[in-house]
Formats: sequence, structure tokens, C-alpha cells
Amino acid sequence: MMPAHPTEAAPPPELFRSRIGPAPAPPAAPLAEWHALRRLRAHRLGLAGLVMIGLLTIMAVVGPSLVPYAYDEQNMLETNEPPSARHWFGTDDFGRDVFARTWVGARISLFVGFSAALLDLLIGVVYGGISGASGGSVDLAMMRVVDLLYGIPHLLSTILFMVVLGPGLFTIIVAMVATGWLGMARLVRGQVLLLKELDYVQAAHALGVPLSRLLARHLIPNTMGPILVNLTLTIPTAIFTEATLSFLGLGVPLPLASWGTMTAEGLVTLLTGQTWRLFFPAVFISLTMFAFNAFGDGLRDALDPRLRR
Amino acid sequence: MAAYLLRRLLASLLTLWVIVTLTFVLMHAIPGDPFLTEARLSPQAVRNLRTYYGLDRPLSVQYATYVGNLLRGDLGRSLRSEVRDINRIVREGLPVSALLGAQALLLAIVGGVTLGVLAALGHNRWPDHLSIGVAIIGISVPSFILATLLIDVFAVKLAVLPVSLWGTWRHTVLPTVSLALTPLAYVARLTRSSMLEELSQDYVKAALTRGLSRGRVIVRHALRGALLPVVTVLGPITAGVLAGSFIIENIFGIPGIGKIFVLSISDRDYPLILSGAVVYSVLLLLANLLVDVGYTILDPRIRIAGGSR
Amino acid sequence: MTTDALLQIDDLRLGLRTGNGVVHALRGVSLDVRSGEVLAVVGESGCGKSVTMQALLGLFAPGQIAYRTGRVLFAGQDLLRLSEPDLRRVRGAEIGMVFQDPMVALTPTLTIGEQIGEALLAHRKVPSRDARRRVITLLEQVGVPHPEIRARQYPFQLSGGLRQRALIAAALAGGPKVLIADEPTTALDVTIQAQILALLRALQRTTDLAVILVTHDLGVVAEIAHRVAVMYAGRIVEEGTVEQILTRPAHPYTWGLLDCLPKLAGDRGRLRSIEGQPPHLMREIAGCAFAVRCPHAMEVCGPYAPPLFTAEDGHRSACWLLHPSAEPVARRTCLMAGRPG
Repeated sequence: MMPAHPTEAAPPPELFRSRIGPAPAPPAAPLAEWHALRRLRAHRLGLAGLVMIGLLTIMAVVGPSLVPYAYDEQNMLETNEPPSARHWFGTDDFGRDVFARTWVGARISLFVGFSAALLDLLIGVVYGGISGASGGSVDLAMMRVVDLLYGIPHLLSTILFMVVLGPGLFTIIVAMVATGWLGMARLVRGQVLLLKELDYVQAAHALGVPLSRLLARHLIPNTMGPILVNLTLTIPTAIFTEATLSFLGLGVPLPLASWGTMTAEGLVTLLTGQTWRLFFPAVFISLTMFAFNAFGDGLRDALDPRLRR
Repeated sequence: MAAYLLRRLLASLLTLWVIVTLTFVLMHAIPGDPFLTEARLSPQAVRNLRTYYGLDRPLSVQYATYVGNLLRGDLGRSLRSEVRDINRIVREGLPVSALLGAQALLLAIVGGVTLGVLAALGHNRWPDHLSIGVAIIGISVPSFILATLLIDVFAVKLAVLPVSLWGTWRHTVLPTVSLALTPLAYVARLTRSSMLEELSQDYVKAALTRGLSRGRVIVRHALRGALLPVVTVLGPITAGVLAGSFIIENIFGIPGIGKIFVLSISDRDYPLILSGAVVYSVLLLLANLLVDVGYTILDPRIRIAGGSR
Repeated sequence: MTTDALLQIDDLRLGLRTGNGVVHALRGVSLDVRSGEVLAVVGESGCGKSVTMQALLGLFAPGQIAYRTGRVLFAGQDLLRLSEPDLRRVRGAEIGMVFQDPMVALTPTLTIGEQIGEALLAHRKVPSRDARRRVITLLEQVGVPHPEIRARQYPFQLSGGLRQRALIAAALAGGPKVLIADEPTTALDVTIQAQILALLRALQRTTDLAVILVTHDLGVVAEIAHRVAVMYAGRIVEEGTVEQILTRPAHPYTWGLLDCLPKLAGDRGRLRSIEGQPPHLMREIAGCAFAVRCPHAMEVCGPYAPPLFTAEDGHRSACWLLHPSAEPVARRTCLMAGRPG
């Protein structure tokens, strides 16, 4: 590892005769943008997360069709069977195939997670973008509202909204988004404020470019990085909240099955020993949360300008 | 510093008022009558009940009465539970929840900081890997799933600890661990990165050049700086513990206010739901205020400069 | 190799592990400093000056070091062979160090007094009342006004100049014989810079302190140094007294450094710089590291690394131009490619 000592022998005198001058410059270093992609590739945990997300999504789509049973197909002759060749994940109290239910549950949990996060994104970006770009008293007023609402505990408000709106797939999403967009709004507004200080933005503004155009063409695209990271990290929170609500009985209504409801149903099996009914939804919730968290972390590290070297 | 804290106190009160109002509005936006489900009651009895609870008066009057009562510390009467006086319900349930919550918080903070510091000191060696492993599990596995897993292993299979209910210190072990693991994971992760950041600072090297021992430098110099960001996150951590207590108390059948709150939701017991929201919010706001106080005391820059962060 | 040297570094070679591989940071550094003298170590960023200083105090964690050979002799001991407890006794009590940016070199969460105090107590057990008095005396010695008040303050409450003085006080608390000042004035403005340099000079005269001043600023060198060592790519390429180096430099790199100084009078012309970049220290360098940028490079410079030749008494330079077989070169005043001086 240590370089060998340079040749100690006396160099021959002919070498002293010619002047060769300085050597040409070495090739320049690669562009900075590629560093981010390379770093993402190197972040093994983040990649694992991404792969897992892909696999889960694929399974959510095709999973139920891999078995000949419908998720709500009851078969009272085959209740509570442990995993076997016929029922890969076993059956539950009503003879329903747990494998099919797990992947239908995946569809619901993922759908709720993605939708809530996307709606948070849309509302947050618009609100935060307008607030940040407008500046002045408009910005102040809009942020006061956000600050006030921010103090309301998210789970509490979601539960309250669910009590009012009643159970249902879309009501869950609405309930979660009701206070979920605040974080994204704050983030976007902060980013927009930073960008507003940039010279080229001020130049465009001075040239008379309208606010909406500034937002759409300049400000929003350049904040994509942190927004994307935030999006990736809100999804597991949404999935977790949905699972919690379902577990508490406030979630998706029967006969729809989400991982949360399956876990709630499966709770009783601790005493009856049919733990596979609990095991599969529990494992997949955890894996999904892990996958999104890991990918979000990896994305954040890859985009962090401080680490750019 | 006092001015800043006063401002924070006022902001908290304002938020509390918003929550109370919002909850009130939501509760009364629910279609239907809370008493309709009581089929055994005669119309006359229902009318009497409505008068007793003041539900026949106009909304604005009900609101004013409610807020007035709150200011006097009267949380009202429950619709469904055996014990009607909500104040008494809270008085009986709060110590239980407080004990569980405090234990969980303590475990999360002490365990998390220790794990984080060890991980930072043993960077890229086994303490680091252990910490990352724990963090992954804590962040990905929802507390209710962890709870069921722990019950399965320790209470059912090994029969070392009781399954549920309350009474001796043994009853607190599983609930506390289930509740504490997720916040512990966040604290550990934050402490680790914060500590790594401090350890890379020049002042650590500078302190070593003065002949101080590594141990002293780590504890007296680096750790102080590293803990500051951790204190700021204590607010959300407490919120997480409070929110988690709903589920945990439910699973373990612990007679705290969390369990009561959840039951009130499914019972549509509005006064109790309202009170639950209020109590929950008050606790949270109190915790956030304490964290702010703690932070201003600990950070000399704020204590002396006496300003906003 | 002089026998009355207080601190002597002997052919120090150091490789450091980084995320991307091993950096051959020091490729054979030899230095010595005597008591009562100021040795300036100059070179551009990345040449290894700070690495040398941190290496001699053992500040690199074992995990960071890929390899380390050579000796650092102090008071008859090789510092590189010392155990951590013994090394701790040397740090602060025998050899002190002052870092570049006092804002980050002082712990932000402890008061000045606490930090100086603990440096004192680390080496001598004194009762706390005496320690407090001693802290105030130290602050007075470094020229901090109202030391009783300042001792109870936090670093952020002091100006840059005061902070640097406090840092010097903390470094001297243990009573060291050698003070390593790593770019002590780089983070300060010019007027404060002058004050700090004057302080160092005064301290040195009153206590016979040996000072190793690491800097990239030749103005500072001219101000207070006695001897100079010029460093490039992990090696010392030239050393001598201040007068010798500044008036009769004998290495093309030093010529470049001196030519790069902007002139305040006379023909101002264009600002000059040395063409090219310093070598990437992750690659092994066979011959002279400066050869690729040197307009006087000869064929021998590529494959063979030059040893230190003696230009005059006490003045040495690692350059093949000083070899008897080489044609002597009249020093050119401009290293910009193509243009004569």
C-alpha cells in the first residue's frame, strides 16, 4: 500500500540536458450531476428499498390473480387452515384465502398511501408556492394559518374527521389530507423563498414575467429534489395512519380488506394459534414502511448538496 | 427569553382554542342523533336526555356553554359510559396513561441516546450496525404489530409476562416496550447523526490537543452539542407516544384515557370524544412548551442572546 | 540534522484512508524547530501542512491511517511510538496547538474560562480557586481586556480576535515548549491579524517558545518567521532562513509562489499564477511532484525524485537544477507558460 521509495540510484547525466517544460493538463473531472446518480446507486439500502417498492407494487397488481380464489370468497369447509400448497398463506375464519386478501389489502394500503401523499403534494405545492412567491403580507397571513393548523396533532384530526365522515376508502384519504398537506406547504414555501433570492429569478421578475409563469417554469422545477424526498417519506406515514385507523375500526369498511383490518382481525389469533393470519399482513406493512423509508433516506442523501464532492 | 416563552404560551392557547372549536364543529356535523341507537328508550326518555345534555339548545349556545365549562375545568357528562362525570373518568385514567407514557418516553430517550452515542463512537463497526438495525425495526414496524409480536413471544409462548390488564410492574413491561421502540429508533438515529457531526468538528480535535482524555471530550464537549437537536425533536416524540398510547392501551386492555377515548369513538359518545381531544391536546401543548423551555435553557446562545431561534 | 532541535520530524510518510481510497498525504517530510525560533511551513491548500501537524500529535484515529513510517523526536522520545496516555501528557503540556478558525476550534457550549481551566487541570492538579486565578492571568497575558468577565462568557460572545487570543491562552495553559499555530490568522481581518502576530512574537520572546507557524500567506512569513520550510505535495521542497528564501529562493515552486504576490507599487501588470494543479495524492508519484507544472523540468525530473541539495549554508532545496550536471538557471520572474519574464 505504501509507495516504494523512489529510486535512490544516481540518475545518468544525459537526462539533465534537455528542458522539456511543464506537461499538459490532465482531463477534467466528471460533471457534478452524475455524482448524485452514482451516489444513489451506491446507497445500497436505498436501492433495496426501491426494489422492494417495485416488487410490492407488482404483487399488488398481479397477486390476487395468481390464485383461483377471490379475496372475499368464503368457504366454510376450509376455515382456519395453515399455509399449504392450496392456500399459500392459509385461510381465515370464513375460509377466505389469506394470500388473495393480503394482496388486495396491498392494493388498498398502497392506493391510500400514494393518493394521500399525492394530494398532500398537490395542495402543499400550490399553497406553499403561492405563499412563497407572493411574499409580503400575503405570505405572512398564509403561513399564520399553517402555523395554527400545524399545532393540531395529525392523528387526532384524522380520527375526528373519520368519525364525522364515516368509514370509507375515500373518506380516509380526505381525513388524512385535511392536515397532512401542511408539512409539504411549509417545505415548498421555504424552498421558494430561497430561490426567489437567485439573480436569474429576480431578473425574470423585473422583465415582467407573471408570477404564475415564474412559479411553474422556474421555482417549482428547482425545488423538485426536497419535494420528492418529502413525498417519498409521507407515503409510509400515510400507510401507517391508515393501518392504525383500520386497526381501531375506523378504516376501510367491510368487506374491503386492508392490512390494518387484517391485523385487527388477526389479533385474536394470538390466543387461538392461527398466527399466519396475523403474520402476513404484519410483515408486509413493516416491509412496505421500511422500503419507503429506506428509499426516501437514500434519495435524500443522494440529493444533499453538502455531500457533493 | 421570558418574552419568547410568553409568545409561545399564547400561541399554544390559541391553537388549543382552534382545536376545541374544530372538534366541536366536527362533532356536531355528524348526521344523526346519538340516542337513536338506543332502541330501548321511549321518545319521552330521549327528549329528556336531550334536554339534560343540552342538545336541544341552539348550537351557538351549546358552544358557549361548552367553552365556559372548559374554562372552569368541567369536561361535561359522558353519554355512554357507566361513570358519567368525565372529570372523574379523566382523573382515574390519566395517572395510568401518564405512568405508561412517562415510562415509554424515558425508555425511548435514554435508550435512544445511548444507542445513538454508541453507534457514533463505534462508527461502521458493530455498535453502529446494531443501532441501524434497531432503527430500521423501530421505524418500519408499527407499534401495534410489535405489540402483538411481543405478546406472542413473551406472554403466550414463554408465559413470562402477563398478556394484558394492569396491576403489577410486570404488566407495564410489554406495553412500555411496544410504545417506546418507534420513538427510540428516531431518537437513536438523530443522536447518531448529530454526534457524528459534532465529532467531526474542529473543536473536538482542538480539545484533544490540550491534553484532555477522549472520554472527557466526548461527554463534556461533543455530547452537549449533539443533544441540542435531539431536544427539539422531543415534542414530536411525545406526540408519537401519546398517539401510540391509544392503540397500545387498547391492545393490552390498560384502563387509561387512551382506551377510553378509542371506545368513545366507536360509541359516538360526543362529550367524551371532545374531552379526549381536549385532554390530548393540552398534554401535547404542555409537552411542546416544556421542550421549548428546556431548549432555551440548554442552548447558551439562546439563553444569553435571549432571542428567537 | 541539528542536535539542539527541540522537535524533529524525520522522514514522515503517511497514508490516509478516505471513502475513495488511500491518499498518500505525506511522502517523506523532515523538519526541525529549535526553542525560541519561529519556523514557518508554507504551501498551498492540500500540500499536507496541517496533516503533518495533526499527525505528529497523533490526532488521526487508527482507522483513518493506512500506513505511517518515520519518527517524530521530542525530548528524546519518538512521539509516534508513544501510547495514548503518554501522548496525552505531551499534548498541551509540551506541545500545544492553535487552530485556524477560533469559532469552530472552541467548544460552543462551554465558557472560555471552563475550557482554559480544564486544559490547566488536565496537566496539574491545582485547587479550583487557584485555577480560576490562573485562567484570568493567562487571559491577561494574551491581551484580553476585562478577563474576569470574558472568562464567564461563551465563544459566540467574543469577537474573532478575542476568540483567537482565548484559543492561544487555552493552548498555552499547560505550559508547552512548542506551539503549533495552524493558519492562526487566516480567518481574521488584516488588522486583527497583525495583533495576533505581534502577540505570538511577544510570547515567544518572553518564554523562549518554539513556534511552528503553518500558513499559505507569505506576508505573515515575512512578518514573524525566522526559518521557512516550503511544502509541496506532501514533501518539503525547500528550507532555509527567511532572508534566504525570500531573496534567494532556489526552487521553481518557491519562485512561482513569490511571483504570485500582487505588487502594490511599480509595474503592476497582470496577476500571475502557477499553471496547472497540484497532483492528486491518491496516485503514486515517481519523480518530482512539481515536474508537470515546472517550466524548467528536465527529463530526469519525471522518473527520479530529487533529494535535498544544499544551495548555501542552512539553505536546501529539492530540485535537480542544483545537481552538478544541470545547467544553472537564472531565475525567471514569471512562470506563466510561454511568456518570458
